[in-house]
Amino acid sequence: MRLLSSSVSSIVFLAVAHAQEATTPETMSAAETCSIDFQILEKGTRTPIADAPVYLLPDGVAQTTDSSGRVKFSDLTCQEHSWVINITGYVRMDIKQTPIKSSFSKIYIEKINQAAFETVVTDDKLKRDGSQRTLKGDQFMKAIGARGDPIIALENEPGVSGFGQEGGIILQGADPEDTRFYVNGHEVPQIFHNLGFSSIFIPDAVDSVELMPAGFGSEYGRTIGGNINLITKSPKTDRLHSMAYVDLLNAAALVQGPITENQSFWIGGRYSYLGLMFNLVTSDNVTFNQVPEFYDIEGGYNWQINDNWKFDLTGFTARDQIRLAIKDTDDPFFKGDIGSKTKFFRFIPRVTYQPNEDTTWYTSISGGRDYLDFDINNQYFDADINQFSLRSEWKQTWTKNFTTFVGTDSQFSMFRADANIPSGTFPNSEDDKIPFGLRDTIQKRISEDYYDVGFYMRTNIQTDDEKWLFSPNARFEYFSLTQNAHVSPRLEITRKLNPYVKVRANAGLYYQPPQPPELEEDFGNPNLTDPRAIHYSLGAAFDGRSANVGFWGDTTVFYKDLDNLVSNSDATITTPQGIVPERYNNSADGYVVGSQWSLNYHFRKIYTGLVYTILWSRKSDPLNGSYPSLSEQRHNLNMRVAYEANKKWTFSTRARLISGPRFTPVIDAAYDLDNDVYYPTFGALNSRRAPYFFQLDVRADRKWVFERWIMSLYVDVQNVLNRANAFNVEYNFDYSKEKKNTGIPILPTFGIKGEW
Amino acid sequence: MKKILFMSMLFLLASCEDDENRFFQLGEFRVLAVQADFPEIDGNSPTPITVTLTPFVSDVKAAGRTLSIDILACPDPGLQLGNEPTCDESLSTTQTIAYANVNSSTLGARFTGAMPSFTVDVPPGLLTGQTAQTQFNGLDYLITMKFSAGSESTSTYKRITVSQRTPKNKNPRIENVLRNGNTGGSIHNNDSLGIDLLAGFGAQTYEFRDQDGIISEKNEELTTSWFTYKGTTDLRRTFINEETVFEQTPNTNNPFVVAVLRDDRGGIDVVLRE
Repeated sequence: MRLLSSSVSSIVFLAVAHAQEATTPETMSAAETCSIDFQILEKGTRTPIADAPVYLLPDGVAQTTDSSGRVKFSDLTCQEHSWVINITGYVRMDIKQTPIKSSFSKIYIEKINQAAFETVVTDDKLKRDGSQRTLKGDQFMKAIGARGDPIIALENEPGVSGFGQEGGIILQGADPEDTRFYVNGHEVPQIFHNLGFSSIFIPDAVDSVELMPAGFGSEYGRTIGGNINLITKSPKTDRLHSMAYVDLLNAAALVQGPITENQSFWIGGRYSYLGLMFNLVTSDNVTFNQVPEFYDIEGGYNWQINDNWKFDLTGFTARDQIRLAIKDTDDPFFKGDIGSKTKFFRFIPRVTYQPNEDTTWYTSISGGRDYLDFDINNQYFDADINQFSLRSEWKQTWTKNFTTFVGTDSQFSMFRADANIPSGTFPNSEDDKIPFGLRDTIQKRISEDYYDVGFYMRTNIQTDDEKWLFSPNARFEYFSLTQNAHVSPRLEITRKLNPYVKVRANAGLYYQPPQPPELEEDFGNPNLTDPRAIHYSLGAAFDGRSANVGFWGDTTVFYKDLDNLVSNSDATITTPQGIVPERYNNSADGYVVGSQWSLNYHFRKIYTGLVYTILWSRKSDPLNGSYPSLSEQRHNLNMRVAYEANKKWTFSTRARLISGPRFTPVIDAAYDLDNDVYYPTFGALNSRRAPYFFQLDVRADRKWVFERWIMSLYVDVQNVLNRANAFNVEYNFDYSKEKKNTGIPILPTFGIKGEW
Repeated sequence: MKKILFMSMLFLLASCEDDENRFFQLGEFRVLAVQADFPEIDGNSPTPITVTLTPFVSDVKAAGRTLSIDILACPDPGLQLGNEPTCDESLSTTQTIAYANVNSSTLGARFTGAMPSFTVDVPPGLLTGQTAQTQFNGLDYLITMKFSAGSESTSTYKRITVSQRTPKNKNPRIENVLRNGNTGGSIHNNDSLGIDLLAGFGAQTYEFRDQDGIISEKNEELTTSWFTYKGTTDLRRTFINEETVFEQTPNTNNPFVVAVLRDDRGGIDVVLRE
């Protein structure tokens, strides 16, 4: 397209040049010649513009820039000359200069569209894994309500129900703990800061976020829910780039650039001042011994060893910390000192070998450590976990239509913990309903080494007319915790109906081991086996855009059949040691069925997006019968409109209407005379909902482009209607009254970013 | 533990609810505590052990009316497994304890104090078949009490620990409720309140057996709950070296407080201070 536009530009400016030739006086001097060397750079980013024609007037002589954006005009008279640069997507630039004997000049040309929503390149090729949705940097940076954050921006995606009541991300009605997080294909314990609801990477370090809900391929396993994979950026190699930003919660900076001709790096970090915000909302009842804080540091290194070999290294660490003293609470358990610190780091070296276009092999190893420290008065949980993982893949394109992928995705963990904690402080615990102060305290040192081995294979078979793609794939897994091995076949079929519409169907088998604490003999039941799911999905995607104007979107119907799920048990079992509680068993099953829709429209200066998900998520077990899942958000509607007022300003708004979170009602309570706390009697599990959630957000983006740097500003007002949306429902001290815990009130936020 | 962190973050925004402040303000019928003469008994006993329980209540506003208690006793139905703290009357292991109605005027001039005691015979053999850890640390015998005062009723329960360990838990004892560090004088606005423990009846050190059979020592943590009449306290519960400040309701006379001292193992003491 650029070549075509360049040709058109050439014709136009040759004509202009000839027209001007008749009226321009002859100025050439035969006695002396000069030359001038231009470097054409994009204004603000200073990105060299290659293959750009530069016209010398009046003759219309064109020279084309090289890869560094340079172009040279020689044998010129040493008088003033005129040049014109006119490239599609950039503001026309007229240059008048008088060259000296050998002169050099940098020319900065400005992009026409600096505003929020840039052209999205349509790719009608059939994807390797059609279930995967990818959010690129430009999309999440400018997503309304996301504060530029790649993970919060996922809330605008279909099938994402947002954050669970106790953290975690809910994908298509799955439990939050059934969603796994990855960075560059390696699992990490968390992908966003607990205390700040920001991702663990500064947005400028993230290339894209891959969302893998129902029907994802065999490259990923160990879960019956879904995955989120965060891909880091490769460093820029043209020059040294820097970026810094501040917003309401934190400040960050990133530097990247070349080290040598074939080596480059990036390094960045962020520090929060969240504690200031907390201090604004706390009272005399709460004293921060350490204000809430989080930070992350991340870096990368790329080395293009030769044409075939490449090495890269990604390293990152993230920490969240808080310590406070509560003087007086409804539940005496929480009176006193409370502290929490979570920290982890990873180093991920990767070697890639690509001897030709048909063969690619890479191997990456992740090594790191997780630290989890919690304490309340004399109760504590201190864990250190050494984590190692291996991901390796060989991709071979045998013919134009036949490609195979073979790889491994394996993990090894060394878990060490000192615990002196109330029972049931882990997900799905049997005594979730019991006030903390009434639970048995379990004191134990835990030392457990375990591993998950996974091998996968995918074969992509495409028909000659490129209309069909058959992608049978399978995964072999072995979980040492349960000592179970599984083979999980999966299949995806994609059909391109025409240049605008694709349909896709897939089905697959998925296993995950129980949560490690559920298998621990004193916290759980070591005899548990692996929960299983079968995913089915049927989807269609269409792109009716022409010249980036028109409709595009997709829809998917999904069904997940869940069985052998871990369920709470109130039974006791007799062992050689005596009568002990069973705590958990595998007697639960369930399903999630739903449909998700995404419809977008772009016309001139207006961009609109509409996302809707409807689902039913239910489970059943002998203790509770059939009941809706806690994560079931029946309706989730998200509407966005952005208006590019001019090339600098963009205004956008988002409205979200979501079913209220589910909760279990309390129908009675008894006063525990020994512990000064009420013990609730619950009604039907998850049988009630909090009122629906409705929030309206507005945002304005402004960009200032200077020759050598860019400044961006956004102002984002969340919940402009100041609606008190409940994120869960709590009870008062004796369970006689319900009270809604409401989320953020009206919250104006801002962010300023400088890039140079 | 993430749940604990989540809960504590909620408390940042929602602590000190007015509802509970009102609960600690006396006037309506309140069950303050039930004290057992032996909070922990010997699980090796071949015969039933009789435990005497004394309810402490307050019913100031009514100033004299009939109070009744429906009492059941049974082995712990599995509170730690999420089962309700109730005794199933259809089971043979459940015993019904008779209790005669009383008038709240018998509680004293402030209609706040001890009701007549009742006894429960804890049957032997409760530890049979249990793990060594449970036998040592103990199993609970549950006593459920539904208090009724006119149309008001309150469901409560208390545990008697049946264990093999020694020494057994005993009730902590308050020697004095201190007002600005002193024992004398009546309570006034802005007085700092604390307690003075009777020598030999403070926090006990006790043995705890873990699942691996290792026996370690633990210390009780004593907490005082403050019920008030004609006023409030800035802290509703205090640790043993902590004080709370009494704020008297304007234009009122003769306030009083009730300090309920608990160890974290079922031991209780109750003292009224005017």
